[in-house]
Amino acid sequence: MKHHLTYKGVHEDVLRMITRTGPAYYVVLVIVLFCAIALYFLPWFYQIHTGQGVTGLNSPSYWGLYLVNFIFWVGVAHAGTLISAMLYITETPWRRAIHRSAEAMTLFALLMAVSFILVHMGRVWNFYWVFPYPNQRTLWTSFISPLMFDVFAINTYFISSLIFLYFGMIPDMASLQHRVTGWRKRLYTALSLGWRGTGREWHIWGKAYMLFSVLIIPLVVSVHSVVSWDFALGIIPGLMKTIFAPYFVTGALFSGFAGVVLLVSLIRWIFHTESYITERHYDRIGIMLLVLSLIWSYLTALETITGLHAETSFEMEHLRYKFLTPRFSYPVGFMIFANTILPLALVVRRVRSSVAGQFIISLFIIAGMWLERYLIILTAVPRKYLPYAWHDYYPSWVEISITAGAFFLFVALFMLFMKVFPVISLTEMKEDIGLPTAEGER
Amino acid sequence: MTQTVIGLFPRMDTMLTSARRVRIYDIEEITLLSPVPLEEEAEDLLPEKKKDPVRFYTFFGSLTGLFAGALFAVGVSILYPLPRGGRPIAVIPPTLIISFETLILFGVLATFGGFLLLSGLIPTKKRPWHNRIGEDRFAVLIRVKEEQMTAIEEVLREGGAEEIIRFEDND
Repeated sequence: MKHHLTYKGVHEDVLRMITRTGPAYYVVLVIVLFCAIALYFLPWFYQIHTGQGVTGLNSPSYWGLYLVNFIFWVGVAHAGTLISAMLYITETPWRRAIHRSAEAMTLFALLMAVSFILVHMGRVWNFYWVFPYPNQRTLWTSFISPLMFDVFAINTYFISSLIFLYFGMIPDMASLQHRVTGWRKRLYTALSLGWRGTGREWHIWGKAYMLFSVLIIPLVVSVHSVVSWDFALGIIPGLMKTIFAPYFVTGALFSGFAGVVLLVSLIRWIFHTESYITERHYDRIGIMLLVLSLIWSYLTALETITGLHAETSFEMEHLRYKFLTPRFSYPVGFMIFANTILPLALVVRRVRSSVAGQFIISLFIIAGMWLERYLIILTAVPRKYLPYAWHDYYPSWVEISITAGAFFLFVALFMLFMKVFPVISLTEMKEDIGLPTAEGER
Repeated sequence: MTQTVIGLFPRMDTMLTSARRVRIYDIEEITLLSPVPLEEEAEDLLPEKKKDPVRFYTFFGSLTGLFAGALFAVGVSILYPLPRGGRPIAVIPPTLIISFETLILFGVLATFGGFLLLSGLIPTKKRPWHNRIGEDRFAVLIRVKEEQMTAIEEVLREGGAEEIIRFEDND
């Protein structure tokens, strides 16, 4: 796809990405789906059938790997919609080629996050008990529980992100509906709602898009703040910290941006979209990653220093357990390397503009940010309250397998999305090209 | 008896020029159709640009969400009290959080509803269009009395329309 971009060229390229699929794509998709079933669904069914005893969860550690994954995936879900909304408001041109994939990433990462709540729940068939509704038990959910805030925040975020993603695709699906056949044609025709591209439609669409963006930015901040309060509003040493809300939001954006780099790199490699996702995109995202890395590092240092300064026996034991126990000190070292030291390479412009370089750095950041959540929960919960209650938590093979399987499931969902919907926004790429006038054909 | 015609143009500027020229005729409706927004370029041809009613949907939706969330959290706490050692039954901080989330949720839903209502999408009957408008062509749709149709088509052709399609109003 290396050519001077024209309206028709963009149209053909996006159409090709959806409709033309080589056998290698399907082979990879089948392998990824198989791994998702084998590593995610089967162990989960085994856990449902056998009971929560197959996990490593036990007193006092009732929060384990599943909630680590929940926070991680909510975090990954953060950057997608935020990038899109924030950059739309500021009219940043490099948003256009990447925002659709970022928004889709949000949606699937949120699905993963919610799935871990269900996995963690044990009796998953009772999941509807978390929703407030009149029932025969005359028992309502407690609104003072941060877990209840979560239900509202995550559902609001999911619905808003879904509408935001769909809304942006309406003109694209209308323009593609006549170029596809079969189920795709029926789907696009139904979802484009009779869009014709009239002045009135564009006007209302633009205004509504702006309003969505304005509403979604504070929502993004609130969602991960609420997730942080699941921990910070308790009275567990290592978790009850006022800094957690901004710390979680920063970490979420950091891992989310890294996730965007990984996904757009995959799109670039699979579909050869070098004309669309350029080195300039990598340069700009690289700057964002660098800034977020510095903020995250500052907050991490602050969290530790204030703990040391407090010098209470609870805090000191938590810090000793986290930094001086070999089981956790090596992951802490890796986390600092991946999230603080390695991203410093992004200071160099050549590294920022390098697709492979940023891909590798982002892989490390994703691993580092997963470890950050792992360390937050696993170094606090087993050491809560008095020493007689302490008990180390070790995840079982079921938890590890489901954790790994979620990554495959996420990739499978994204691969399916790329074959159903335009992963690069047609409308906005055309806007990027400019209007065809007498000065030059587009 | 009115008829509708669509003039298809490869360029935006020629389409706008033609659209401005036909305004001297007694036209019932003139609509610009384009693959991208044309708000700045066609300001004089888009009377709806001055109106921005979507924000009212957003505002009232958000306001409804704010009060609904507060009412829900406080109301349910009072109806189904969970006594906690003398602490208040309905507490302000959680109510604020729930209200904030419902504010956003209702705001987003109302904005989407407002968009659907105001943009006239989900049509009940087939409307004139051309496949290439979504792709790379700009078009002007004109609804005019039958006797003026020939003159309108002539203006469009002179303006550089590469294709002119006529629709009967019951098409």
